[in-house]
Amino acid sequence: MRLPFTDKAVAASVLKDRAEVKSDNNLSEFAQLYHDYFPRVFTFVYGRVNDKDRALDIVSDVFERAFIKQSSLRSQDAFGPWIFTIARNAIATHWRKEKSIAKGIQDSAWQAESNGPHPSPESFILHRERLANLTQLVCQLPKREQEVISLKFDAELSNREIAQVLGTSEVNVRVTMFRALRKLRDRLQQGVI
Amino acid sequence: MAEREQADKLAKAIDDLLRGLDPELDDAELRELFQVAKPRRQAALDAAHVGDKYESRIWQRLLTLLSKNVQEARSNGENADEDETTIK
Repeated sequence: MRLPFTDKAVAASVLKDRAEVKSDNNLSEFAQLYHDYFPRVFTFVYGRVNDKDRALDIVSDVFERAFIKQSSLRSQDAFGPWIFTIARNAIATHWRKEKSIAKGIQDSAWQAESNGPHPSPESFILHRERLANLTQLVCQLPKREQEVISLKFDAELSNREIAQVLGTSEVNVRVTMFRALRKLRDRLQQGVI
Repeated sequence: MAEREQADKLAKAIDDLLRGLDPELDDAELRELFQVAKPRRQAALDAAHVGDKYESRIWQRLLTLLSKNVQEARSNGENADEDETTIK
């Protein structure tokens, strides 16, 4: 038989109300973080998995995990490197499951869906070709160099944040970027695709 | 110029590029590498543009999942409260 214990029931009710307010506040704060970070997390994931629908699924998972685990975050300032670490792990899991071959970034999906300004059909085609070539060359770089490039250009992280995500030094990040771009330049000049 | 010094200068130029600036570089090789960085940055902007269309859709999906999580947490809390506040 279960009987209510009145004083404790009142206290529990107050605590429950507080928990609800806390949950609502958490969701509201999280909505702002989502709004701030979605574009960069999406761009980062999209650039790494080369498939828009998969990227959207992964991004959704990343933010869900971030919401559930956010209490483990020491400070809001650490949210950037933290969420990209979650994203990086989610991408690694994706590739372990899929073991699929990179299709050459975006399969022209960027170009097909992008509504960016292009002055003429000719320049649009040139723009597409240049990006497609470059993207294919980036996919041929070592994984570490691809990650540094993506964390910089897609995720827009500082070198310090990239170093945190990859567990390395800022100097290493800068030198890795330099070497990666040098390789890309050489391959572009050689016409290697 | 030593590789590390070049790397530092290029890193600064890329940070400027991300802020929408077009920095002047006094080193010929760095200028070449910067010309590779620019289209890569453009590719990122194009990809981000694709993402714009899905931000609210994914938020709605996420909200459903998060609400479910919050409700489950509350439900667990209620059960815990009940356990604490009842005499068996």
